[in-house]
Amino acid sequence: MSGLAHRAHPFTPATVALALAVMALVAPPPQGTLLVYVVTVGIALLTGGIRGVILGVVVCLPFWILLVIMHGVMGDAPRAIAVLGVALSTAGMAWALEQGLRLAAIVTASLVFATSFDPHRFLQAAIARGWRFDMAFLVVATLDAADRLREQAVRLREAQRTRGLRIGRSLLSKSRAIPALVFPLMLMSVMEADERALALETRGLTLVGPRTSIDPPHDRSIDRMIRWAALLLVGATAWWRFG
Amino acid sequence: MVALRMTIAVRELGFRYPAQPAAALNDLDLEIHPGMITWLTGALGSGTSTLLLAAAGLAPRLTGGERRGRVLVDGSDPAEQSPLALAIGYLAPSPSLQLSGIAPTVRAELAVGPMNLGLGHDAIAKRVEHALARFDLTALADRAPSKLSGGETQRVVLAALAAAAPRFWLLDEPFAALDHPSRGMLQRILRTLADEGATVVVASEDAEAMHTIADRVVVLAHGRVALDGDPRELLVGDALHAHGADTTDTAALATAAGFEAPRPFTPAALLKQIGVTPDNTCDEQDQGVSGGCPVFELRNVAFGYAERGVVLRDASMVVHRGEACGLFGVNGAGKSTLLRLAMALEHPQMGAVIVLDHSTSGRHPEDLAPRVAMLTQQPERQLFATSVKQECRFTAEHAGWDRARIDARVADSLDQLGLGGVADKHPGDLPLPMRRLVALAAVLVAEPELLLLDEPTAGLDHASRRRVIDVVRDRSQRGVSTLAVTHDPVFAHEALDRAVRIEDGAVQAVLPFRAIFDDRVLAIPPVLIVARALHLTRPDDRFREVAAALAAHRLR
Repeated sequence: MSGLAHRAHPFTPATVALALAVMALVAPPPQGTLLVYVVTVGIALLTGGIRGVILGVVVCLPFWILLVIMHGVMGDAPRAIAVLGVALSTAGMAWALEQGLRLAAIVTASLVFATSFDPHRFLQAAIARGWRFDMAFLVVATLDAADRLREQAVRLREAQRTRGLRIGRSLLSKSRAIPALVFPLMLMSVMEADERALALETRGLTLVGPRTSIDPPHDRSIDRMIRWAALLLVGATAWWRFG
Repeated sequence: MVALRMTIAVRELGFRYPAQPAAALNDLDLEIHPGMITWLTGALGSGTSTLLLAAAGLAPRLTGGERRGRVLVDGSDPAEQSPLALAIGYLAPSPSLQLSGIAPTVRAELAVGPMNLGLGHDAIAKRVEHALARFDLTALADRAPSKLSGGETQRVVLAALAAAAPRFWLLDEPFAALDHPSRGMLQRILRTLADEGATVVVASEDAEAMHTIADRVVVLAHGRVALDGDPRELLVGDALHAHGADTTDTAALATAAGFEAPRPFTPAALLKQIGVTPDNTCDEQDQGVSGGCPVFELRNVAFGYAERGVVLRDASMVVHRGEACGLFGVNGAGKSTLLRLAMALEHPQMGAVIVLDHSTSGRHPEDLAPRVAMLTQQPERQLFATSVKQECRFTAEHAGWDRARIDARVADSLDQLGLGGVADKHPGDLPLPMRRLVALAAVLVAEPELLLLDEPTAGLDHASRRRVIDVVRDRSQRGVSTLAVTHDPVFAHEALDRAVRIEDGAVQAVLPFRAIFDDRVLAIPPVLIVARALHLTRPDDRFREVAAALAAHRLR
């Protein structure tokens, strides 16, 4: 792992991501939401989270298109903005822009955090703070689930390809491949829950009582300052909108 | 019931899994004492794994189902507490499922148990370092647990259990994925633990590993205790076999050769009984290579992973038509990687991989199937059809075969692996060894010319292993080539013709084949020990031929 996010105390990126998501919700649109999105992208680039930014665009793109169609193309009059000869609804496009920016900021902040998340350090920090271990583990398991599913999907795809499964570019070819890929993956996902339970039970992760943080991450004054600043900015954003 | 210290007491225990018509355990009574190694065995589905799960408190808490009767571990019901709270160390048959998923390194993985018990930093560090050293994991301490080979993972999970210092060890098939040196190491560790007063229970089909260390054998049949006694007394008779449990290869050989009970169950005892001196030389000429045309070839191949570094360097080897070749080396040597290269799942960074006269460069696994077939580790995870029969049709259907031909091949493959009776069953309803056989049957249906097998006998009982051996021999005689990774000396000896050892990224042919069986890589199979003593050479040193020679010798 690399980047400032990985060197920071694990609660710092979590607090910043949460603060950015809340700011995206409460900031006055469109200038406020645009500012939050730009800040989110800026922080991501500074902390080595470019993968999260790219993923954010990939995830948001279908929603942006949907917003433009639903509110811009099919929105109410007056229609003024013309793109490729199509007159778009002024109010609809404004709404699409607000929601699109809000969505982009929230998704990007979440993905930058998720892609730089280190479960081991987060749990060690939670134990050191005396947090409830089951709740901390729930956070870790949730954030880790996508990675595990992706690994399983890769393994399964390889195994089925060795049996002759062709996953071509055409829709027909893809639909033919679905049963061989999706059914075992669904089955494995269900099994995954049981398997995680086995690990939790046999390795003492369900034990009740005090735990030892093996290598608690160092909580530097800069980390604390960033967290407080993030909370203050949430307050300031709310004042900007409602004050 | 009086609770005895460090004892596992089971009274009238019954257990039924959800949606299963038959109970897995039926009114089972058993008391397991500390200071000894208790070996649980029985036929497939006899209930040994379920008994361990119940003793660890995981059945029915995790598995669901219904439990009757009582289980007490050190006087407490394990169903009400976490295993570690009762100082229980439980090893599942698939240890990779027991990795915590929260540790970035092996060292951190070992610290998970002590961390959850709330021990002090010094105590944790001491236990972790001790467990690393004890299980020979110091070199792997900074590796990511999820990137280890099957055998390495098994050692890591065992070491992680040891770091939590359990007093009750409940181990389900602990030898399954281990190489020969690791098996010996685990045998010594279990013996030491028992001698130090721990309660050690091992469910295992592996009579070879268990007979030397077990103090007591408990044979289950239909969820009840069928036999209970000294392993050395029971192994000489017919009772174990009669209840479907595996015996040693020597005892099986003696039975096949017509010896009456009490039979010898170690090679030394057998040779002593017939008055033959053991012969440890292996200087005969190698006779394995068929001389047919090459089917698989590595030409000066170099390959590595970003996270593991170089795995193979300047590796060259050839497998000929009809040849069954084994890949050997310690856990993590790169054997599975070589199979991945052969199946075009990976491509070499230097050199060339030639399969069936074509380079794999620019080709994909689906381009090689069905002429090349691969059985991965844990192949049961790729099953998806609603019946065994349907599962087996998959590859041939994708290859465009006609229905009648597929039906005939499916029936043939299932019969050969003893699966004819479960053809219409859902694969998910079958025990793990049978699911693995289904996966093998599925790759055999489309008549591949090159079989790539990764630990094909792992987790199989004696009878299933014999079927896999017969399949490989049968395919070899029909001109099918096999490249197999195995830690199973019996499979290696009975099914394979030639050995290749991978060491430090280099590939070396082992000549003669018998030289592969040594203390570094593979144990010497008992059948081979007897064959050497009788001066039998390839191809007359396999089970059936040795049994016949032994019978003739005995009659003389």
